[in-house]
Amino acid sequence: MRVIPLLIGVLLASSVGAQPDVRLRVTKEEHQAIRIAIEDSTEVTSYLKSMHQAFSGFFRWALEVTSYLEIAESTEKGKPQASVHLRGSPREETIAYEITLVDYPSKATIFRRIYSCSDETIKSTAYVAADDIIFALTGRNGIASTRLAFVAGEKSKSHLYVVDLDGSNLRKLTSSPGIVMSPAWSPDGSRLAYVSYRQGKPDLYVVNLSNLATTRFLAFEGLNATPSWSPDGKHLAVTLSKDGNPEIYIISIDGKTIKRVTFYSGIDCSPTWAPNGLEIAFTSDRTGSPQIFVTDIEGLSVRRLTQEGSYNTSPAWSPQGDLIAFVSRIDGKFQICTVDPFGTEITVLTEVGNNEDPAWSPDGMHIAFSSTIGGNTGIYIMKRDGTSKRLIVDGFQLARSPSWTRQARVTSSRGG
Amino acid sequence: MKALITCLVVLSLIATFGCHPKKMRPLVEEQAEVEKQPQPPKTEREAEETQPVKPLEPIEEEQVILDPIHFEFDKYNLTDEAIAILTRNAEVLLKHPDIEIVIEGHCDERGTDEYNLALGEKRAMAARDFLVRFGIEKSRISIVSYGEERPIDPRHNEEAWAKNRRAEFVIR
Repeated sequence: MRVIPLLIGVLLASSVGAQPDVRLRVTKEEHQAIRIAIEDSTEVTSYLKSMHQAFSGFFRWALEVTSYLEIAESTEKGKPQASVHLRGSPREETIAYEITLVDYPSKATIFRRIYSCSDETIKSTAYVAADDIIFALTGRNGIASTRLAFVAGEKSKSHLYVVDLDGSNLRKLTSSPGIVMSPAWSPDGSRLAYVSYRQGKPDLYVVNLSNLATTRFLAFEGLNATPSWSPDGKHLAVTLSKDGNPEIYIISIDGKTIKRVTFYSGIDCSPTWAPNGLEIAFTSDRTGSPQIFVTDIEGLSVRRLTQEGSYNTSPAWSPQGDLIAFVSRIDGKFQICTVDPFGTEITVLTEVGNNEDPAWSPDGMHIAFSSTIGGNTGIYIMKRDGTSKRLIVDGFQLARSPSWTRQARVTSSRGG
Repeated sequence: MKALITCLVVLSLIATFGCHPKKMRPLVEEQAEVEKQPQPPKTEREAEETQPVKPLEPIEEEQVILDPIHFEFDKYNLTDEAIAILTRNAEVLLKHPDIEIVIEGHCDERGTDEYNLALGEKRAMAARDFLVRFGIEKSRISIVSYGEERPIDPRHNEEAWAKNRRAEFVIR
């Protein structure tokens, strides 16, 4: 796991122009990270020492990866705002951790809980404990236990993969290399829809992650592309060109109903659902260049969302519904931006290299994306304000098209 | 891909010398027949007219060559150059009513994969619609978009991008 911290500079001060009612905002730190200290008074035998070291490593990573918390190395330096007290007691082949979260400087105890782990459950227990601390301090779910799907490999010789956010449990879901695109995780995390050319053209497949059973879900003439699951998991919005043109359709997951949503002779593609399931944002070139539009799911009223620039594509609606992330061409490079559902304020989140394929974390506080900032195209995550960029998927020549699990992780029982 | 590049080289040579692609006759077979038949002694004049048969490279099938067309960045309308090439391709297809083709739409690497997939589809459609208007039966043409997944020039510069924004005509 390599982590690349990036300084976010000022961007685009000069390129605001024609549309005075649209504000283009520079990236800025939205929330200051909470500084926490970790005090460890665990005493273990040499037999359990490596287990404790592993727990400690997973615990710290899970606390830090959200970027909500910053670990202060000592309570003396850096004035922590909270401290976590770890007291592990060995019990044969397990360790029971009593974890106390203390507010600073009041020293009031926020919670005290016992977490018990064996060799097999070190990581999951460490993540649960860390997520409980994150939730207690920020009211948000952690992301350590989430997963990403992505496409990697030389173009036209790619595979579909899933991986835990910490880089473990990497699984290849395709058996032979080919053109693979646009993985999309079902809301319950059980299935992935994606596009594959395994039969010579872009068809839509759905793979069940529990048994890897794959079905060819859509194979109309022409494009069967850009799947997006409805929030209830019962429908897929897709791009089909079967009626002579790339258009958006909504198809029920049982395949019984199909409804056309867009009607335009140019390109309509890349649908993404609003979390209320009533609207869809998509890309269209109906005004001469690709821009982001929003339509109701009946296709009756359409509004243009992006007014700036000549190339805005790949919309992704946040789980909270308040923002739509998209890709914009700025000075010849491709950057991740966000815009509110009314198109009033655009925020540019990246500025180095080419950045594409935005995908939201289940808590909607982070965005995964593909980027060339490290040379090779890799998959990164950042906070929704563009700060705290971290490389997540590395070691592939070309890793792209991330999709983040959508379900928020179930946190541990919040007992005493 | 190699075959395609060879085709392109051949094509560019033909274009250089200002010729249209022509139907090539299966000369090898004719030559074989001629050799089998007993020949009457030739007069000098006849000998002059009948060139000695040169050894030919074997040609398995008649070659029909269809030029690719190219597009501007983020565009799928046909340029004047593309229309000229498509017109030639249409004439070739009219001469060979038995040939069916796949038009492949391609994009350069810039821009998002998904939009480029749709853009490639529109490029292939634009080429197909032109050929259909020219009188080619729609049933002879299928299309497929490869988006930006199959560049012919892998470099990351203007020259490569210009080559990669294309529609190719592949005989089925």
